[in-house]
Amino acid sequence: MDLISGADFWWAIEQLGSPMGLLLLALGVIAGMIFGAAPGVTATAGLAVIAPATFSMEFAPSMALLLGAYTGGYFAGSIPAILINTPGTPANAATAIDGYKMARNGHADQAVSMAVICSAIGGLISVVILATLAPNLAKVALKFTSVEYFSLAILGLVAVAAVSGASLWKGVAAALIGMILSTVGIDEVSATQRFTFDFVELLGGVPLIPALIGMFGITELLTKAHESRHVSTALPEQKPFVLRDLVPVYMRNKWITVKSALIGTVVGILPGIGPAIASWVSYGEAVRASKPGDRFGEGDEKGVIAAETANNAVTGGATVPLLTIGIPGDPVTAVLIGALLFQGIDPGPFFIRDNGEKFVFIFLALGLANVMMLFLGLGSRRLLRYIVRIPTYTLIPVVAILSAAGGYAVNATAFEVNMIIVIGIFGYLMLRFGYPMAPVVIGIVLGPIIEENLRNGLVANDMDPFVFFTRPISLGVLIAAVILVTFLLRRGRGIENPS
Amino acid sequence: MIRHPDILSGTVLAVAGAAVLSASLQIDVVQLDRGLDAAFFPALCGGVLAAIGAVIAIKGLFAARTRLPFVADGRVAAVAGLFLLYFFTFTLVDFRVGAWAMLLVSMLALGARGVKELVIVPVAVAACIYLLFRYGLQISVPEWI
Repeated sequence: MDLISGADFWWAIEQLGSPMGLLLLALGVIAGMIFGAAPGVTATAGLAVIAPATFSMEFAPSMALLLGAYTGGYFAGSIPAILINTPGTPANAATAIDGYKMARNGHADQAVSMAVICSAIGGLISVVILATLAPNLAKVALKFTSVEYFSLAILGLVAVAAVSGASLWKGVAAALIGMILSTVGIDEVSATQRFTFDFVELLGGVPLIPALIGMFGITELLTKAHESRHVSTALPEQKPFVLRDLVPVYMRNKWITVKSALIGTVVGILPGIGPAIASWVSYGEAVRASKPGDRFGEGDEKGVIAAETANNAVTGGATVPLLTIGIPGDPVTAVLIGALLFQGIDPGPFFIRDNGEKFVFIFLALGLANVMMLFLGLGSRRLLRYIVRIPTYTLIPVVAILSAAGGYAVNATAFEVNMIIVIGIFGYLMLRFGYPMAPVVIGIVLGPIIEENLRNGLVANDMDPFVFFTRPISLGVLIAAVILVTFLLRRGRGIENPS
Repeated sequence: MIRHPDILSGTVLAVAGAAVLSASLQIDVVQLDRGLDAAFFPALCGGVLAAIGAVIAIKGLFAARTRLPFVADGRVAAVAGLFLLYFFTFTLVDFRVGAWAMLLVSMLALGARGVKELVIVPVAVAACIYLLFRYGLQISVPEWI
């Protein structure tokens, strides 16, 4: 059975090729680059703030804006990483190692240009893999039962808990907090109210987008308020550079580029993990395979290539579990879940079968966003450094205002706006004590999936709890979760929260 | 004086988890012929959270003495207070006025001192954001007029 038809392609091309579609995709890339490059605001926060702006739009313009921001945001975090040794997102921390050294050696323009090109290459390769893998994986996923979905959700939750902070216990605790928040509202099976405290607004559960804005936007702003108000961008005199100088660079590093793109895509496919792990794994692999004469850590171009190719390759990879089994590949795709649900679309195993044209639109939009990012990024790379210089005292209130307006856009009531600041302050306190935010978000998203599939799996199998260990795919996934956590713990935690 | 921050955070989590477990057991559930009732999952999550909180607190008891983490200085407290005021009064105040005031006061609290900057930036940025939401994105914001 083919899930996608020629009519699906034509619809997607028509939507994406329209003037409004192209404009919103470009605006999304630009908005993503601005959020990603601004120190103290991550791509995830940017997407959470932008998402409410899409509520009045149809599917195609909404996705164009968000996917553009997704693509642009992951690349642009490399700008402050290279120029001021401050990664815009945790995914760009590996870029800072060699990128900043290149800038100190007078090659800042070259480093930024390489970051753009690598990001585009990684993103495009991952989109091709997405386009070929996702429909086939969706066909397999249609045969999964609740037992397998439960185990896959557990895999995603445990993986993100293991990689997001310095302590596995704290990561799991954060995930449990997210899952408890997900139980707020009316139980779908018995219509029982849970933890609504007589708030009518909570009958539908904790609204996802305001929770994301609070957890990623407000917490980062409060953290930024404590940090230095002045950002020094002083660099030594820069050497002249033209883009064609990069041609021999890429010719001699083509295999690192392809390998990094594949690493990023595979890591992106693993539920819940994200680009930070991808960039570190890719960087670590490049170091492991280094030859005499390589100067990793001292401004080696291979360091930038490995890190940046991998972290943008996650964009296509992370969309695979999102669109085939409804599990986010990284915290940013959790934002996309919120946007899709608002459009009345349930991402999951039936998404490609029932919405083939929308799936085609997504991967075409991701591909075109990478091309736009390439041209816009190269064309504006000398301007992007000014974003790094935006004073903190302007940036913080602007993002706060956008956050409040975004929360108000959900339902035009004060409840969501108030929720943002309450969750934001609570999240800030959690961060201060070493509890990461990403597992909370994934817990909120996966909590209902875990509960529903746990209940359905037990009912379908005469309440036998061992069914999760006796069905081979489920057992395999749970074993994979244990192996993955062990592997990640041995490679070192503290990716999202190095402190 | 608490010897390690994990003792405090772990204890808070253990208490919170126990509270969720207790509250879950008091949910007025509909008894189902088969399957798990509405209280099961939150009770399970609360119970596991309480256990993990206890583990974190106990690990803190045996860890080397460490100061509590920095939570807030004057700047952070001022910003948090401003955020609380702005967010809780967001729907009561005209967006244009509220955004301008938020920008002006926040910039002052965070150290901006240039007169031109304090005059121009709040007005310009508030206007741009209002126009973007109201006319660009067609999203309503609180307005007096």
